[in-house]
Amino acid sequence: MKGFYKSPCEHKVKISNRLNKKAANTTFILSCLIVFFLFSNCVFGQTKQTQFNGFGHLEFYFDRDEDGRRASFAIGEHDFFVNATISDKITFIGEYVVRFNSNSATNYLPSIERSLVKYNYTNNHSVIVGKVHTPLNYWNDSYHHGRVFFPVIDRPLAFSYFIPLHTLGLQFQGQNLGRLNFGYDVMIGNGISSTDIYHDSVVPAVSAAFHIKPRDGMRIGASYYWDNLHDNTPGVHSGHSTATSVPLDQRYEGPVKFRLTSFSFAYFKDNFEILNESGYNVSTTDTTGRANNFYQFVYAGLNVTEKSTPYILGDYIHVADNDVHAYPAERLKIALGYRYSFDYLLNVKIQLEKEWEFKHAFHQNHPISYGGPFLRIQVAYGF
Amino acid sequence: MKTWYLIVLGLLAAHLSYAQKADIGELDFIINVNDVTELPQSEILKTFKNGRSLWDSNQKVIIVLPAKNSSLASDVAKNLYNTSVSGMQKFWLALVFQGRSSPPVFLQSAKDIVEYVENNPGAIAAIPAGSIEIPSNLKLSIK
Repeated sequence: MKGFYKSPCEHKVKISNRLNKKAANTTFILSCLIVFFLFSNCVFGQTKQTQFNGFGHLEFYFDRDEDGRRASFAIGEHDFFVNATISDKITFIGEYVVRFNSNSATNYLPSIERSLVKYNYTNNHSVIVGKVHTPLNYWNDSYHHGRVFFPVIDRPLAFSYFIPLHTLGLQFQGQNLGRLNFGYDVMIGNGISSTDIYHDSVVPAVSAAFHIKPRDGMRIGASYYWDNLHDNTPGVHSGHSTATSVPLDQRYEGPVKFRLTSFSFAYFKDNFEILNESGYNVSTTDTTGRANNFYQFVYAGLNVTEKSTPYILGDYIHVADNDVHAYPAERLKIALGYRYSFDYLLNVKIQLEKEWEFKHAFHQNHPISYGGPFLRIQVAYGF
Repeated sequence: MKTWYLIVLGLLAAHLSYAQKADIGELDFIINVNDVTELPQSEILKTFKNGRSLWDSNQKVIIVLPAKNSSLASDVAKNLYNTSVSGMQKFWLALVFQGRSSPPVFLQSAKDIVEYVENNPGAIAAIPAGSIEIPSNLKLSIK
């Protein structure tokens, strides 16, 4: 736990070569990451300055839709996490994920999910530079890619539509200030339509989040995210793909003014757990006007013992008909689940879920009640 | 209907019987910070729950705790964090993963803990009361 194409013609041959190169690059990057982790652990582990953790998950799901029934095992993303103390006031944090991707020649692709240097300039106040999970809500700020921490199997639906998961830039952070344990995270950086090496304008995305922790286990927070997208790039959201797959010839590529207000309430006690994530998003363009969208996620669990947690969840998103960034959608998911924690590093979640898709851009011929009921089982672990 | 009542009652009974009781007085505290020999209870609790990153002397706060397989761990987890050893480990792993804290140092025995604190300025540790004789210059009293 501690610190750790087939190618019958020439054109296709070219594609194949490119894929092989890509596969070689992927393998090289993976090898470098592994060597880096092993090396860092050897060098710093003895002085307890670096901690290396890994997280992963496996799933089994049984579902039924208009195409029939399926029962599948699936390997989930695997997450490598490094926390290194460089000096008393400087810390490095890295999070690297390898996940299944059928477009990759090796079926897997690596990604850098977090890479940051944190300077703790005075007690409980820090400056952070690097790529972070945008601290907009409790979920995105707390669970990252560690499924073993997730109270349920999946992220809220909104994460596939509205939440700007990552920002790469400069962050000012404060925490545990005063009697209410006030905290702030103010950040400027590359926004939604940017990549990790390029931002398409001189105006950065800005986010400001505040929270209080009035009691042990409780966190109440609100945030605002402001981003003027120079070129609308639906689907990027700073690194993760969205649920809406838009045909190339139907993409809106003009500017979008994207605003998101979020509210989180989390109360995790030894005997019960509650998490509420709400948000109101406005995306405005010159041609389609102002689209008003919102989402709501609610989770409640009862820890009948330390290891045993039955739970329920409700998850709803609404994207307006005139939205050309996330594209119109209205979905509702409810689930009944049970989590058994063998240890803080291993749990099993069993979830019976049902989904309704009242509308969804580019999803033709779906009945409203197309999703489920699904039975999903997830084994999440840390090491 | 009767079955549902029984299930709900069973869940509630199990839920109510699952409770921890914290008592900071059952613990000894060890510290190696210039001019700090006593702290209010609230400040000690806050420090052990990631409420402080640097001491007034600008030294980094290093939390030292019994490792999960140490015989000292369950008393510290119960009396300081009001939870189990696994709960205490999860609390810290979650904070470290969030990037909001450096990891604590987990050590096996009371002797290892005292020695570590002695050799690392900024360190603060908790062990069950009476586990070991603590040098007077390292003893932290509750104000």
